[in-house]
Amino acid sequence: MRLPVRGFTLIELVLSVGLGVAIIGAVASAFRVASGIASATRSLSAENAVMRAGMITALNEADCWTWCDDPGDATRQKLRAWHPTNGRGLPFTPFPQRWPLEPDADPELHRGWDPDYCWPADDARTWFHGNMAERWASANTLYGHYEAFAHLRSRVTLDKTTAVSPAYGSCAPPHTWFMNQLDGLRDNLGFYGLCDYLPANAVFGSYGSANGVLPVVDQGWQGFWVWPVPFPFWTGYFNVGEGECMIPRGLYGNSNNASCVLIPGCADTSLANATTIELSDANVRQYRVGQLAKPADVQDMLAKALPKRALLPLAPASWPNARVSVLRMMGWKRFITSCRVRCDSAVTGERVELTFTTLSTTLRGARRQRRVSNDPASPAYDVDLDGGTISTACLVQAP
Amino acid sequence: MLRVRAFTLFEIAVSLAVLAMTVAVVAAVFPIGLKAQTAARFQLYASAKALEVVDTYNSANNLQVSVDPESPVPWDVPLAYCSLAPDLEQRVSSYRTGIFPVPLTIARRLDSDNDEIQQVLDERRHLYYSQPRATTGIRDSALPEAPPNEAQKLVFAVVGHPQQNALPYFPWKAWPYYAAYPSPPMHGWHINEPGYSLPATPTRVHVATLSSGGSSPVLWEDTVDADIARVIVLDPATTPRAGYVDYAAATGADVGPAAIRYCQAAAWYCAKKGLPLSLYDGSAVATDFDGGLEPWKQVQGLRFLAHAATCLTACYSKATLDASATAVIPSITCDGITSHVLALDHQRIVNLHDSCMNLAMRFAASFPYDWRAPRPLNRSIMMDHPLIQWDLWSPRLAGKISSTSATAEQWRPILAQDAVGDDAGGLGTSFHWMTHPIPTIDPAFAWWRTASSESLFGDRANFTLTKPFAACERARQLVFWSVDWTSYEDFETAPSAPVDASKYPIATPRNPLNGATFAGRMANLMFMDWRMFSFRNPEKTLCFIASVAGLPTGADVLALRNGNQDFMNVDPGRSDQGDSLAARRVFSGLFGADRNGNGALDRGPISPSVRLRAMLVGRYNFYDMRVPATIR
Repeated sequence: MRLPVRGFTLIELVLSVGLGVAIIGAVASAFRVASGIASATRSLSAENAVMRAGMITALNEADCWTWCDDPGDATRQKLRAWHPTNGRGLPFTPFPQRWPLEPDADPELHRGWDPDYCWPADDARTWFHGNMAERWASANTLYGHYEAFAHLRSRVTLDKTTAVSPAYGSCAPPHTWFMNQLDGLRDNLGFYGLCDYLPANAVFGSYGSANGVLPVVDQGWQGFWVWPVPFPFWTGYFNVGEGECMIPRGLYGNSNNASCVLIPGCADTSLANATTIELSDANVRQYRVGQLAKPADVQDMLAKALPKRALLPLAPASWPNARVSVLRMMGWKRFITSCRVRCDSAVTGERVELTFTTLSTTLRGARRQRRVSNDPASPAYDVDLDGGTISTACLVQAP
Repeated sequence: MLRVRAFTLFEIAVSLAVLAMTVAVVAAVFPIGLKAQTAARFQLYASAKALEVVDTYNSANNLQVSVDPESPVPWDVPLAYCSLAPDLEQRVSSYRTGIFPVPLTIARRLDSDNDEIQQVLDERRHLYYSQPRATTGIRDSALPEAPPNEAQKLVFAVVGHPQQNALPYFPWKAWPYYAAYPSPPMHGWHINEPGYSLPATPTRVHVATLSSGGSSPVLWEDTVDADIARVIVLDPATTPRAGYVDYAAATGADVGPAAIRYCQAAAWYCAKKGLPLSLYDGSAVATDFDGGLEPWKQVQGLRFLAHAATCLTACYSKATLDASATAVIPSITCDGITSHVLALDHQRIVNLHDSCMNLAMRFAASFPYDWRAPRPLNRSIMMDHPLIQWDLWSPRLAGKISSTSATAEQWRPILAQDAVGDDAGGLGTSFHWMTHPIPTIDPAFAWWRTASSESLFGDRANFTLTKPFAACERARQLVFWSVDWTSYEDFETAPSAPVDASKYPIATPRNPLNGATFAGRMANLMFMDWRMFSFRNPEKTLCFIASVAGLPTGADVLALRNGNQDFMNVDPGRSDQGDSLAARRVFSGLFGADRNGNGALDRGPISPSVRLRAMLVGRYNFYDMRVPATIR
């Protein structure tokens, strides 16, 4: 018997092969596209996760300031130091140890920082009693001795003479609190802290010099506040000299074209290994990064102030390489917290950057979130860096 | 018998179609993940940008100190313009603060859900993109190179209408005026402006003896109270003269006697104002006003006398003041008023200073609408600023734009309380226009007035700044979309979005050298980037100053950007100033801008004829302020 079996015809074979090829081609193409998309999705997803983590890290740092001062690690609290020779502190120097409150029956004679005082606008202590029209470089004191009203010291001797003015003599200025607060904040915190702590309407100027380090000079402006001259022992200056006015000015006048920058001295900055005095010098100078800035000025500031912290230092080489930066500065009377998240693709090397400014905790807020001592047995355990009672509700913990 | 047969061709075709559909469906599913990740990326950018915009809105300073603030008619100065409104998009849309309008020709090509973008544009509002870098205030041209900012692929709009805002200043008189306390009467420099503020009275000529650098200091404060001129020069016909000017100009042995004569003039002013001797003899520190006398008179009297008295300390030693009769201030008579004799020793001078400060601070905090004494520069506070808004419902003021024949209209102002600016109970004059009482009776500026009795002000019933409100009434929304508008061929060559005329910082017409013509007023102000950043094209620093149409893609265009100013009124940075056609083109951004800030001319691959779809990324509610303020 003959089985009813027959082979493919040539046409059938050709069609079959053709269809097979088409199927394989379609599947291969789909697989390739799918694989590419999946790879891109995975890569984008990883980058997104890293960018998201970077943004959260930056915002957390903006709020907690742990790069500047790590409350749980005494080796990362460089900004709590004090330089005895120059009598200067840093942004996290504890007030209870260096500038404690010394009450007096006369409120004008209070010294040190009072963490509970709110600087009410109707308290005469907070007003500026100096002569706002008096130029520092005047040859004589045309409008009289305002040192007799307000001064750093509670008893002064005005013994300089000019062509028209005799030596005035000794007197007791009634208003000494504000100028001591001004100089005290500068000496204990540096410029950023000074601006952070003072009210927005503060006028910057004091008569005489009496920080315990400098020779006592009672007469005339402390030139430091009214003209860009460095203080003795200081490398920087506060007044930027705009307009050549040589008179005391407010925050806007003192931050035109220049900025007070918080220099953290933390890892990943050019001052990571700086000494206390180097850190202090960097925190008591203005940085010319405004309208008239040159690229070198900006580079210098960024190198010192902008940490470029690796987000995932132990990540595999195939992961995106991300760095997070947070910069704090005050310029144009604006307190700026600028965040940057920079992510490099491990595969293509392509760089993605996200920069933004954000609302953040003030330096004063950050200091009040930190204990003077982490030893529960210490009386300073419940004391914050301003000398107040610490609020455990907003205590910053080590990350 | 076995019946074996293969698939038919039809069966195979159907199978293949099913397979193809399956593969197509699967292939279509794959990009969903990619789209989700892309959307997640843009949500991240949007949240960061929303944080930045709101931070900048709240914390960036709002000082525009180099614009002219005063004029007899409100439309001649930009204070009432929307460029100074405290609304988010007005505050933040500038070359200093970070968001720029997307060119209208490009924005019109973008589709979105419910056509929301086009609705925003139809309402004459802008779609925005972010500047290439974060808004730190650091000079952008000095910043190091950075990778492209992907956040520029986000566009966003402010949805919801702002409430009517407070005026930043009263355009006729930019109160508050500040003075150091204590101080002599306010005088200041003016360029010579015949008919406006050129020294015209003997007293002002005397002040001009202190002139410097070709400018003439002129007294302004006697427009508040004519007696104040007596503190400058008590009696020009008397020799030696008493008053501030002669003390300031005194030399040698005359300095001490001149200081005493200055005290006499100030004491005479106190007597003329009827101040009780106990208030200003220095025997005690005043902490509150004497109830029977207008507070401003007490503030002014103590301000001048405390200043004059302190001048004694420059001329005599403390021992001399305390031990002798040297500092006895003799009485003096002028215009039938005889001043009291004063004995000013050191402690009394200190007391006078404290009395002056106490009453000045109390006055500033208690009487924000009494403008007869300047606010103390020693302590500026919120209460220095009166609350003013336009009345949108009363008949408008109408007139001409100065130096032109063009007509203008303006709503009438409403103050929360009646303001008093001079001793006659009127608003007095402004420092810049000290010869023009407010409201002016000068026919050159009184077009708006149909009758001399017509009030300048609107109806206080329409004043809303102090009314209770619900939070939702001030809530507005930032809406973000993602769309790669930077891939358009004309991404950088398209002209800027239309720039509101309020962005041009025109000068008040007071200076006859430049104010005679509108063109002169357009060129009169110094264009200082950092002192008037709410004005000019928001894309100003990136705008091209010449056509780039003929340049190849990738060409270096750094030198063609309007850029930042290096110093005051010099190029680069002011190619947009003046009435020339070239300047107007630059101001309006007609040549395009280096919008991604990379210094090269970029042209994307997408033709302008193609429409793009913008995908909604997120919505963020925020609180829109009605008053000019910065918050930390």
